Amino acid sequence: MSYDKPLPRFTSTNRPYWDSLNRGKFSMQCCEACGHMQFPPQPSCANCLSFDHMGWKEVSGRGRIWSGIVMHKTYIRSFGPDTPYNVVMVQLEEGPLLMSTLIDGNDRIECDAPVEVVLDRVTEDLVLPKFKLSGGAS
Amino acid sequence: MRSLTPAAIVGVGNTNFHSMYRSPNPERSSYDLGVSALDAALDDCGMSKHDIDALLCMRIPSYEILADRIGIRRIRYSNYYVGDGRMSGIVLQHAVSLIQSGLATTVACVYGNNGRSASATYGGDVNLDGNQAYDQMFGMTSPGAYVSLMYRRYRHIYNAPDDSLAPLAINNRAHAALNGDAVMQTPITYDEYMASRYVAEPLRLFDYCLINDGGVAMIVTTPERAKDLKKKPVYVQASATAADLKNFYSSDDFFQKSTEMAAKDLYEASGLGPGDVDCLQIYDNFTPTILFSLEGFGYAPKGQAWQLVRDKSIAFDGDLPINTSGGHTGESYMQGWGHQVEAVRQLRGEAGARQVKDCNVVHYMCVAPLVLTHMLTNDLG
Repeated sequence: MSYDKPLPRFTSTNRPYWDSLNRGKFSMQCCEACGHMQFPPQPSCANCLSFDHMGWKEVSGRGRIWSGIVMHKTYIRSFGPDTPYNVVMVQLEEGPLLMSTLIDGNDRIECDAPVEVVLDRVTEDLVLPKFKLSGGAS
Repeated sequence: MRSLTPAAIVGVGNTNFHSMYRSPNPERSSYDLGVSALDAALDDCGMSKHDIDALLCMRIPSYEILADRIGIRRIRYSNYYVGDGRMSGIVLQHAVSLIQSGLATTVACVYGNNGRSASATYGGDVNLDGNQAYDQMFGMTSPGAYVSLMYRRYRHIYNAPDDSLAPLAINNRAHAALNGDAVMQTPITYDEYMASRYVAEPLRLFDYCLINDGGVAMIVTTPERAKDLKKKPVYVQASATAADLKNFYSSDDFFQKSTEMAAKDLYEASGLGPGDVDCLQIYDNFTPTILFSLEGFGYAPKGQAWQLVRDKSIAFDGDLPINTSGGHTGESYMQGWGHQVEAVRQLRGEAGARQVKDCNVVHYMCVAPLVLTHMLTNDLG
């Protein structure tokens, strides 16, 4: 099967993000010099500006919905069949923010609701981090 | 800027947004639109293009080609500003700074946007190499969606109901209907607003800026030079900025902190505050930005602007006139240029059917990752 939706171009900087997901682990870039965790992955640390200490750390996968929207317009053609679809901005408990989607459904978005990551395999090489509402308080 | 003599806006011009909207033309360029608007602005003040010694353009890609189109080869200074709405306020600030520093005397500020003819969608341009690819991979795109994210959270925190933006959308359309150049010439009702389709829910169609073609220009010069010209000068009494720069457009405090910083600077520098303001021109890429602006600038307590605009009249003849020419959802999406020009017209008493009575102070504000704001007056004294 092939995946027709946009993806960041694979680089040496972001490769570990995808490799980690492919191995069933959700990791964030973490500077080994100062401990700063950041997303998306970049060649340098946004805290101490180091280029030489960028590492990776597995994260819990838990977070909260900062907010979400339901896209009723198809701006990106490959999302046509999915429209209307939801996008949530999740704040991971370790700090970083990222965009994703809530698999529970467009009408289940609630700000501050606790969520946990769901690793969704879309091809044999590609796993995307999506989120689902957590059962109870996290 | 604090103790320097304010510069004067002496000429303004714009294309007819309405007639252009009815006649998109794939050959229409941003240069064409900018040149038309500049011609109108020169006519407005009675200056010649040869009086111009600095050319600042926004969204028109090459200042060299623009200068060539205008036929002003030997000026002192020129620059281009990217087509981000926050830059419209920056262009005016820089025009003022060039004059106050003596680097120029008469600055032509020119904007051209052929978005409709060029089939712009303001969303969907996929960039696999940028940070936004991590958003686009989930279908997250377009500035409206990023503002909608903030607005949903704002509603959650402050218990603002689903119709909180209705007064803003309705107000813009009511004013546009009094503005012969506006794209939209008919008002909308509450029911029509609520029935309009969602784009990036919770934002509706009528919460979104238009996509249209247009050109706008302003001529800025010294108060001395202004005395000899056709119209009553409008002064940039003071101006301020503040930034909230990070990866996502959506700000976790709805730009409150940065807006408060800019507000403090502006009110101190101008000696004016919300109580002195006769009319507000508020950058409204999407209607929620108006709420964030009103709160950040202290017109309403945090979380209560949605009540203010519901309970007070924001019409040109009301308690707190906002966006009297129709704003970005009614007049035209000229990324703040239309708002700045409307401020000038109100202060000159040229706003016709939508004229605010005794209008002497207009507050322009643009809340974005760069906050831009000016106090404009019609009297130096």
